[in-house]
Amino acid sequence: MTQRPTDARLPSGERWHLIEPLLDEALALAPEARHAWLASACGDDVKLRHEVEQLLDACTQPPRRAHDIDRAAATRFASFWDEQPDEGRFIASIAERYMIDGEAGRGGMAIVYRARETHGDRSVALKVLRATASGSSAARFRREIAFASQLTHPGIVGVLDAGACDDRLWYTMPFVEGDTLRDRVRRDGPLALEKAMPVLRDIAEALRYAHERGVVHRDLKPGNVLMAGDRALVADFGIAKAVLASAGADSRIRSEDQIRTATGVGMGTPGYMAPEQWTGERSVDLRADLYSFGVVAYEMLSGQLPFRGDTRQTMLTAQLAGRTERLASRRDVPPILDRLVTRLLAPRAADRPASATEVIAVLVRVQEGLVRSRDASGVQRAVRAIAASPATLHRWWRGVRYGD
Amino acid sequence: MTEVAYHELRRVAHRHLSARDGYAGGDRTIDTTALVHEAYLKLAAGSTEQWKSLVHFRAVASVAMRHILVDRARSRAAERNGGGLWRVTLDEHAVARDDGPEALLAIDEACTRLADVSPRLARLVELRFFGGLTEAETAAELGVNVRTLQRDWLKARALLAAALAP
Repeated sequence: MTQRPTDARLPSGERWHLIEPLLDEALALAPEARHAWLASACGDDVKLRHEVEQLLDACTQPPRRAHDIDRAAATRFASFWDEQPDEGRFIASIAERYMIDGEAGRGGMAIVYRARETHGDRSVALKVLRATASGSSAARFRREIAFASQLTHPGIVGVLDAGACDDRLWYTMPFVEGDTLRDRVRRDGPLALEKAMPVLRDIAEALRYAHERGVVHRDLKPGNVLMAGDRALVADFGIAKAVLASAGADSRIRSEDQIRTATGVGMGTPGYMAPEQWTGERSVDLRADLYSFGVVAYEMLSGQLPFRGDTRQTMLTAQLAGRTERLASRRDVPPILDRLVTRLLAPRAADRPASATEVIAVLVRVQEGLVRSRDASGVQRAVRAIAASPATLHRWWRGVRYGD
Repeated sequence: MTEVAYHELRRVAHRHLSARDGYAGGDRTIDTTALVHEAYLKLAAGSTEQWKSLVHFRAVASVAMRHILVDRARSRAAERNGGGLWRVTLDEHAVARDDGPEALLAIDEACTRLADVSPRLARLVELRFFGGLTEAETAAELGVNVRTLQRDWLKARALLAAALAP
């Protein structure tokens, strides 16, 4: 079977009107009579004869396999029916537990659906491994489920339920109504200090909890912080590496400062990830999360990223230089908070706080300071009110004495 | 109308494939005729005049099926360029490259160009290749006799090959 490509070119519509009747007549003749007939029919229009001959050749030649249209598309490309059907199949087979409401997101490895419990009315985010995922993706997804399942904390969007359905791994997380921190900062600009502190505290507590269990987030950013009312929840410990697991060590929980990941691949989001994650060298540990936490804090309080760059290289250069505008110069940020953020953004992991516990200690002091100054301003208000009116003084005094 | 057929065909295809549970990764063929018939019965039951006959429905369905397959080929090609996941899958299943999404997209594009030269032959390709109609069904739909249809098919194939020539 010959498979040489045809020399024929697709004619214009106008040209085809000339060619087609000749081609029809030639095809109606016995093969050996065709060329002689064509020569006489075309007369001295050699160009036309040549064109018809080439198409005549193409008519009698079996098509190249890639261009074969004799087998119907639906059969020849049968596998193309697959992925969508696979989703339908998955949706049908999970239906006894969850009703899928719609797609919430899609990544290279997994699809996230918004769903409701079939026997109950809890809303969940259901993450399912793609039908086309490779074996290594499945292994990573399995690890992701295993690590995320260990984390049960009010500040972490945890795993509710997991399983395999129709050969596809899946797990559910609570569906958190509300914005992400990213949406909120974009919409409202920098957060007031009193609003920012509880959010930072929630994130730091979540990190401490996870770090104590050997789980590093590695992709902390405002887009991964969900705002449920005034509470913040850290989502997507998806690329978290279980530090202990990858170190191949025992399952004993080690102290935070011993935790190291031995993985060399830089994962994370430009602008938020620590310099050591960019270069992917040596150890990436919990201090990478603390760096990202510093970026998040800086952005929440100033509305801007501490370091900027148009390319990976200029961004990394800015991060390594480590110089950024001090937060204290911008707003009502107390010096201890400013110093904390500066330390968190240190290019060298060794210069950062050693643990989330250390970070929380500073946050607590800032919050206590806020409470004290609020109390102080309450006394000032009372004094001003008293000065303004003796009747107020009387009421205030009664309040103090009799607890009115 | 094509859109209704599009959705119905996809729905039926989902069901057909889910009925094959347990053949994971195995047989990837689909019985197009059964698929189209089932979609037709469903749609014909719901409306009296829109779907005059099965042959006519199959003509509509061929456009819908062309869309379905081309849409899928596009996202497969994009996935392959983007993630590399599909490449792995391809290797695993040892699918011939001639059956890859690019081959279908090339034919689709060539068929669109063919429509500028000869709308009738492009329609023929749509009915037979994308719609999976038999010779007799296609002849009935186009209102020509089978011999004419066979000759037209040769011409359509030749022009398509010309359009696809490097």
